[in-house]
Amino acid sequence: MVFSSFVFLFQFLPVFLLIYFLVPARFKNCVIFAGSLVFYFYGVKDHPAYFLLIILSIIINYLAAIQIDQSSKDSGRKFWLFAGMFYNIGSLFLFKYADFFVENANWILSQVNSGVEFPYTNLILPIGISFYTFQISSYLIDVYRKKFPAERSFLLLGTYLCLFPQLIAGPIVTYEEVREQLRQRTHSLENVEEGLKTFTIGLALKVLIANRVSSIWTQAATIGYESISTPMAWLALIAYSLQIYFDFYGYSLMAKGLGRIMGFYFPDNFKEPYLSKTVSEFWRRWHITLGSWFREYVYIPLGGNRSHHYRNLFIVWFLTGLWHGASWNFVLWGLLSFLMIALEKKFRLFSGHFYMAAFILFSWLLFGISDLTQFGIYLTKLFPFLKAGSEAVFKADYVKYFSECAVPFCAGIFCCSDIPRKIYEKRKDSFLISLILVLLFWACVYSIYLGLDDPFLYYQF
Amino acid sequence: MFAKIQLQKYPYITLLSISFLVVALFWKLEPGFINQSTDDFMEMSDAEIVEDTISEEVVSAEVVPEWELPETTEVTEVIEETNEGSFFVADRTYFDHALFIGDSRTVGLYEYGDLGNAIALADSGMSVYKVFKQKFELPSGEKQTLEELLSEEQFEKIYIMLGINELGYSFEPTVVKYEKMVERIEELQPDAIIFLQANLHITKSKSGKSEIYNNENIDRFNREVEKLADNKKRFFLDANELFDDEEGNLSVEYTVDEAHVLGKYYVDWVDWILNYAVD
Repeated sequence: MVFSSFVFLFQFLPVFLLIYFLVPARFKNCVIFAGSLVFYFYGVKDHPAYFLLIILSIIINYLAAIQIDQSSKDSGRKFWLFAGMFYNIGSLFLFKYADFFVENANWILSQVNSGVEFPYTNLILPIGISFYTFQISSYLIDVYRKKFPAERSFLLLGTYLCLFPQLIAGPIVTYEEVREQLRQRTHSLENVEEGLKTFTIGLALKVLIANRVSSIWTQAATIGYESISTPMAWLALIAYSLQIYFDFYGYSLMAKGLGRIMGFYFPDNFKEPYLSKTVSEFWRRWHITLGSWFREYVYIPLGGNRSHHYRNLFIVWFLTGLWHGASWNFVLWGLLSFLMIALEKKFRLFSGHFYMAAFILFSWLLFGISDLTQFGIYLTKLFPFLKAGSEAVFKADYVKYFSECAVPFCAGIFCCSDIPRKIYEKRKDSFLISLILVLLFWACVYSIYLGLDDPFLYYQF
Repeated sequence: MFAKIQLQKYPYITLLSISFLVVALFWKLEPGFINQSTDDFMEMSDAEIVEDTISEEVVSAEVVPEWELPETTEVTEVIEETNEGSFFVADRTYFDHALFIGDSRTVGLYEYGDLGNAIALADSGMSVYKVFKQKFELPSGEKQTLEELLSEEQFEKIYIMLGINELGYSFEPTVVKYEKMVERIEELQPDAIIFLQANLHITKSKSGKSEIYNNENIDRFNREVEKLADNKKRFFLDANELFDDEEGNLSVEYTVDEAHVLGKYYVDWVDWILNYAVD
């Protein structure tokens, strides 16, 4: 159930909040846990086993953490840490990377004519597994590091992991950040007011910008990259960069807003990343909670910048790429960040908005096209001098597709700057801002109603 | 207790609540709005349209069983033989006074297939229910309805490809509506040759995902379209042979979105259409 759907906005959320605010404080976490399970079950209802998978993940990590806590010897603590992590990483590998591994192994085996072939698992990715695996792993590692004692309350740990606002698409909240809030937090109309506003802004970014501009990129693929014009190639790539950002940023804001309604303070996940001047800075402002996770649990344990600095960076960016998807283009995408960050550290020449615009567009191109041949074709469209005679049949394609979503496109460009946020922060308590947000909310609802929000629902020929 | 809460301190909660009340009142006239998924939405508009279709076309609807009489294979063969004699291969000048009417697939033919000097009245999501209601932009920039254009200008050939967006609607009224549309076009364009084009299939995987938009329903509708052809003034063209795999689904090599062929293949499609020129 995505946040930008009627079933969430008008059924799940109102019923959930009603119950949540009616029950006494000591039952509120039960309501969150139960509600989150309902939320997750709805999402995986075609694969009920995946529901058990997340429960299993809680049980195993709950028990492993207690064992770590109770082991007096270091070897025992290590054993339980490895046991828990083996399960966490193992299940993530099985469900997310097994077929990618099989595909590559089979390719290598076919190159040496071994005649051996591994079978595919054909498993479908369980929703949110990349996020919840990282969250629960951070919990286990932090218990091992004695940051806090193992959670004795299964309910609290379960509530943390399943917390529906951030279950499916982050932000990756560590247990440390919400441990105390789970036990004690304030419920106030002020929180509800702030939370609803933040949620509405996120909803608007997702529905009115991301979903609307996404059609340009989809259309470019539908037409086929061979047949698009050069302006269309640039337009589609910019639109895709806007879509990725506002989709993700919008979702993170909705999560933050929903958390705030219930009295939680989730960390920020984005801070105007497209205004960055270097790739290092970009990654401090883009998907911040993922970057912190890798820094805290991979980069620093490897030695950080003290020993084997570039090796450590390479590993982190290789894994960051792979985390985004089981495909080589994601790995290359991660390694592109590595390359640029390494160059930035060595030469300090690379900096500025122009450099970053080029990096951002190029990196999303690598991110968005999994087939490297198609990637090459797209490059020749962006830079027609690379290949002669690749003129488009329909030369005015970009006019057509731009005019279909000129308003969300321009609004998207504007919202990449820090101006809207600054205005909002200055005036957020004003009547006018509230009025605008109400209008935006109903514009989103109308847009969802028309089916414009989801290109897959908008089933038209 | 609630009276003590200062509402002006929470303008968003206040305004949002008021707006919910207003919307709830407004939509009381149309209950169920909020629970609708896109499918229901389709069905709702379907119900509306079907109602007005039926009221004016009850008689035609009763005729439906007659169309469904099984055609003997012999008859089909005879028709095919006569067909082959009358078709010839033409070049793009054949489209000099041609009109194309259709949905996004026709948009594709027009944008990527090179239809010469033909005019296309086509739009994504076009259906027999909308085709006379919508205004289309002509190459001159002027906006006209199909009726207006057909009343003003005579065409020699009219190509129609519609039916896939209608699959969510009730089947028989759609068939009736389709036939009425063809008849109306003939009234306005008595000298034109009409090419009724079969709707293109979608891929196997996409077809398997929908109860409505699948190749079984596409074929079912195409067969009804085929029955309207008389091979004198109305000809049936089925381009699926160009892009189908062995099982009769749109072959995956021609498409990315599983419903439209890639831009570069529209030229082949138009070339194929030109193999079936009629004098």
